[in-house]
Amino acid sequence: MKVSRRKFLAGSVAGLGALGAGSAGLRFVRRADARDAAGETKYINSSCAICTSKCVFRGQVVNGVIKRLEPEPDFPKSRGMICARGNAGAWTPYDPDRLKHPLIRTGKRGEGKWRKATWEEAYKYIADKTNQLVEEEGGHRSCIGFASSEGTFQEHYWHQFREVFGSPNSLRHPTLCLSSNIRGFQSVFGTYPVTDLKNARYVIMAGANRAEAIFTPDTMDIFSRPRGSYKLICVDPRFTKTAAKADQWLPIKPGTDMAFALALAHVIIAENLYDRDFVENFCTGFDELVEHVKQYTPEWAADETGIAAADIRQIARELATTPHSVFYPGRRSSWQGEEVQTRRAIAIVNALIGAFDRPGGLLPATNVPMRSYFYEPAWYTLTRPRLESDDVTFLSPRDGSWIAWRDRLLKADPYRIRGLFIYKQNVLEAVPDRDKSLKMFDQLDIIVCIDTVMSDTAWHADVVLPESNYLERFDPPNAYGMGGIEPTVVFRQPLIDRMYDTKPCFEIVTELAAYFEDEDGFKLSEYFEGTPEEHARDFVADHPGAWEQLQDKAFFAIPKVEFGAFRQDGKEFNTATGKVELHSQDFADRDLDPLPVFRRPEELGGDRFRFLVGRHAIHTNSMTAAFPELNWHQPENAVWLNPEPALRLGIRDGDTVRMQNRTGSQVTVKAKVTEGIRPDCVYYAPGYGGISPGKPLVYHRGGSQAAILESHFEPISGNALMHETIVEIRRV
Amino acid sequence: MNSIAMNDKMINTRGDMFWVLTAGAFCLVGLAGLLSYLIQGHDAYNIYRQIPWGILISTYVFFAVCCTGLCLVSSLGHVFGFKPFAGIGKRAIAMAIIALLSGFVAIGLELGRPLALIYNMLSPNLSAPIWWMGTLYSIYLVVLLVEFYLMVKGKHRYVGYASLAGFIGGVAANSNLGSVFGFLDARVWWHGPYLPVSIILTAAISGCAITILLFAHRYAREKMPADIERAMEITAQLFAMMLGILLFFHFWMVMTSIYGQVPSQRDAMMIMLNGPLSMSYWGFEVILGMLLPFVLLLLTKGKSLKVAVAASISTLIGFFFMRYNSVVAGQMVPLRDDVEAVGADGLLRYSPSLTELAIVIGTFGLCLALYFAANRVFDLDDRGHH
Amino acid sequence: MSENKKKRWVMVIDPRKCIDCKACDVACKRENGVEANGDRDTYRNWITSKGVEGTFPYLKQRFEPSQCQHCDNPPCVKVCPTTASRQTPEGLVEIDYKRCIVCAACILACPYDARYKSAQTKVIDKCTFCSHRIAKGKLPACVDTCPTKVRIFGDLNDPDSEVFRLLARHHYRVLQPEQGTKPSLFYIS
Repeated sequence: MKVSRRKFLAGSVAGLGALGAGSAGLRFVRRADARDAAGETKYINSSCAICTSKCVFRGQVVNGVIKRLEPEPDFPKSRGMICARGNAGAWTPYDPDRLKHPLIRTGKRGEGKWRKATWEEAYKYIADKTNQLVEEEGGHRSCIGFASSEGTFQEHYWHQFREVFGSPNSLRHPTLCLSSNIRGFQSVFGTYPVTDLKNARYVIMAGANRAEAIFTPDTMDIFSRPRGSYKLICVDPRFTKTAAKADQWLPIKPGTDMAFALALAHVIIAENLYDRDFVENFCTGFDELVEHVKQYTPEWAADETGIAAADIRQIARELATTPHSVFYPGRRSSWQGEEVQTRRAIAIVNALIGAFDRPGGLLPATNVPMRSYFYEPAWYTLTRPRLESDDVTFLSPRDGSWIAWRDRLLKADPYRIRGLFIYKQNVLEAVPDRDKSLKMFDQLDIIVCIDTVMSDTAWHADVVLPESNYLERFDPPNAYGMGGIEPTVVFRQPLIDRMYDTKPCFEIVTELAAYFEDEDGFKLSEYFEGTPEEHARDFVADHPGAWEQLQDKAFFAIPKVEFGAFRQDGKEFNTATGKVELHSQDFADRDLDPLPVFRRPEELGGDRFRFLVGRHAIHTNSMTAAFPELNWHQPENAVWLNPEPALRLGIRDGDTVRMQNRTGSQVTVKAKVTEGIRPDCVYYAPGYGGISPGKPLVYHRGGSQAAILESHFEPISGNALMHETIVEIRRV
Repeated sequence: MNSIAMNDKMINTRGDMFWVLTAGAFCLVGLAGLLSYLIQGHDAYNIYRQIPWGILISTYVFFAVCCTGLCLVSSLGHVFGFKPFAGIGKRAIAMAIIALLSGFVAIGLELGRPLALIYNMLSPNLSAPIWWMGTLYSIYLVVLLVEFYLMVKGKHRYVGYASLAGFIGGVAANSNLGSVFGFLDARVWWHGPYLPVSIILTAAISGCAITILLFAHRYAREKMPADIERAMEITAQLFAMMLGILLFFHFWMVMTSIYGQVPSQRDAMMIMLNGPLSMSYWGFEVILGMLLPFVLLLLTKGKSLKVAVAASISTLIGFFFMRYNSVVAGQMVPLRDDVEAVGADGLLRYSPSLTELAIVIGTFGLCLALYFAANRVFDLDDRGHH
Repeated sequence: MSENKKKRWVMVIDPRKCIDCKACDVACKRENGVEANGDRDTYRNWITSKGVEGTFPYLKQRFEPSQCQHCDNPPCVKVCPTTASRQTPEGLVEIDYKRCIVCAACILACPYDARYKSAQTKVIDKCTFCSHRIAKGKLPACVDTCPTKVRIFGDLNDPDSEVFRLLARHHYRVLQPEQGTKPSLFYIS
């Protein structure tokens, strides 16, 4: 977007409110600085909550005000860094638009009329309404859905509440992200592995955008190495910053990664380049695979993927012959078509080259062993299965399948959902097809939202409960997602006192539980025992000194995993056969393809484009785009369009365009004409085009992803398919 | 201003009334600009990180150049002994002081913290052209005031020495002003000896132009004395000659800038030759500022006062744009790649804000108003010692 | 390193490692209390890029993190009329804010676009190499926060320092050597 600075500043005058928003927060810091001479600087370690990586920082607190979150150099997962988002997080407690006290809606949904409530009023309002709805549904507590996202241990308390409340309908983040990836790799290796990028010498990243989707320690492990010490092949329809860092960029036709992987397998087998030792000792189904991939020649794949056959051949050879090579699994895989099978194909390529449990290969994630969090289960006679349990082959009971669930809800099939309790998830922007989500909201009689800011979702809720900011909060130790080659555990402790009338999730759910009873008439609050601090001590009680180290450093680590432990003779994989399953009998038994079969994605035809989603290093989904210190790098998103179709459509850089998907949803957004995208694709960054004034910097600014995404999911893992959206574009 | 308008012989015609009202209106616009600046600070200006010097700086340079020019012309009589010029000294020096004060107002409003100028004395940096600029112009102002005082008091014995000091001070301060730009190695197009030298030449030309205007106005309704008439003729001829020199000088500057294709040097020149400033360059700087007056004066050989007046107005307008072009073009080539800062042509953008324009108009209003005030307070006709 | 030997603080930058993630910008602003309030001109460090270069599908994009070069021959110090800009004995270029008249000559003298007029303090501002941190033996904020460790900071007069070793082993360049500024930022090439 070529907007001169002058124009930008002129434009920003209109957004004076937005500017004020930024300055109010920073005024705290200025005040702290003014007193800096008095010089009371404290350092308190805690861990970040801006993305799932939970990097440990040393919080620099000057006279009781957080000035900066410095990286903790000893924390192994982050390799001693704090990214832009983590740094900008220091602003969040001082965000003037924070939720400061409970709110109960007084106007229409989304109208923004609220009354300030006490916690007791809010709890009572929720409980009265909810109990009445449960009664209307004949006592079926499954009529209340629970949405949440991964990030803090507080979420475990949330699930404890859901379970003792008695609803199976839990909706979590994975089916908007990586559940197909988990399923695909699990069906082959029996685990969704981590990757040792630190020692990898040859890496294929297909779709994975580690330079912009920062993930610890992978991003650091590859990009902080001297150039020349590794070769990186980036396969992506978009010229991402990973592509900019790669030795070779292959702008693949979207939805054909499987064809690329199968052709790699074809060459590796046809040219006898596979790791004979690994395949013979640890894999099953090799003969079927050999037969199966005969059809998938590089020439065939060239037609499907748009990658030259010679390139595919060369990459296959280099991949198979370079020591420490790996086809990186990546994380988010909510893309297109046969997603689970695509991940299987990638896993199979890794198996063929023996990229498992060796330096530069895949490795099962090792977690720090911790004591479990035990609580009494509540038993209900009236139970129903999850709403969408017939729609997905491998449905995770805790994660559910967002798209399938919402489709069922809208049809009230097989039963009605009457309310939705939401914790730390921006449903309206996270789940594809915002129009559909709003329709879902219309059918709900109560929506409760716990968040720290007035997200689009909170704005459309009935009751909003303010959670304490992660810098004001104690979160018990968490090992989830902190496993890997260097397993660690992190926790959070407050850097500052709570600034407003907010509570951590634990307090909210335990207090709310006092307003509910189980079937036997016991208050649900009786299921909650102890305090997070007590739980925390207990979790790490098996590790002497761990509790003290947590308080000092906010993390503790167990020794690094040595390579080879999973590769010994007789070692079983966590699959049905105990082997790496190139051919899956389990899949065959479920009427699924036992080997990945490529099906060509729909032809676009005419001036239609495939809409892609993807990260920028300053964005954690919809969370961070409104942080002032990040927003200025990209005040508004713009839709990427290749110059060739742009010329055809008469669209110039900076023009305003209207996009429309196949279900009629429209988004108006600026155009960024760039060579960095395939001519048949368009893309814009997440987090913009908000519909809540509680995030002024992105309120009606730019385009919302959820608004343009059509809702599709694949039935094996239940994962959303975000690249199945096809749009038309015209200049406004 | 009312009192001025009422009784002075200078201001008893409708033509003068027009100028006084114009000055008043300009001053009011300037006050509005000043108010906007006081409220918003530098936010009211369109200057920014990559283009920190805007039209106020170029206006200051314009006035400073005019000031020196007037001093040079007046020195023709008092220093170099051109008899016909003896009578123009007082008026020219008065105008020089007024122009300099107007220029100081422009730069004073551009400086973010003029009060910190105290450190110009407390912790001077002798290697900084701006330190010399501040110092030389301060001294120069004092010299001009002394010179004017001596003239008013009729102490002709000392006027010659003061005038010599003014001549030296003017050339020193003015060429030093050129070095403020010329010493900025980072701005390739400004860098070098062209600006310090050309600025003196343009100063002399401006001085001629303003002198012609001042006396044409003074004697608009009465017969011009013969010596003044002679002086005007010589001034117009000098004017033409120096314009001719400037044209060639300028031509070779342009050629030097583009000949070697040194990237940012050429880019800055091309901004004016065939870029965002081309209208301002060809239309104002070249045609109005140099070519048209040169042709007009050549055709009349400087003997027609009316044509000389037209040429003077044309030149001064052109020179105002010349300063603007020079200041802005030197900054428009970005120092580093920043795709967000530049336009489609890869250049940075600047156009003055309303506040900046209002202040510029105000400085001209101030200049006019002070001149009419000076006319009223002092007898600017320097006829006593003949 | 010997205690009494004069230090020469330098930064060695490996731009090939930079992923343009903007951590350095945000960390710098937090550490130094620099409030931009959405102003696009307020930053002490930045990442230079021409954007995506080339024609699809043959593309490249380069990133070059930069900031005040703390030149050994700093043009900004020369042109400052009030010696508000000056050099410390350790080679840092610093601004004495109270002396600054905001004439902006230093902004124009700097060939690197390192300086800007701060809307917050109303004077000229720029990178300080986090002198308040290095005085306490800490690294500058942009250095310690960097995910891929693009920037390495240290004392070039100390042969045991990483910066010394890096420069001894690698080819390197400085930005705009033709300006004769003798920068303290070295780019591994």
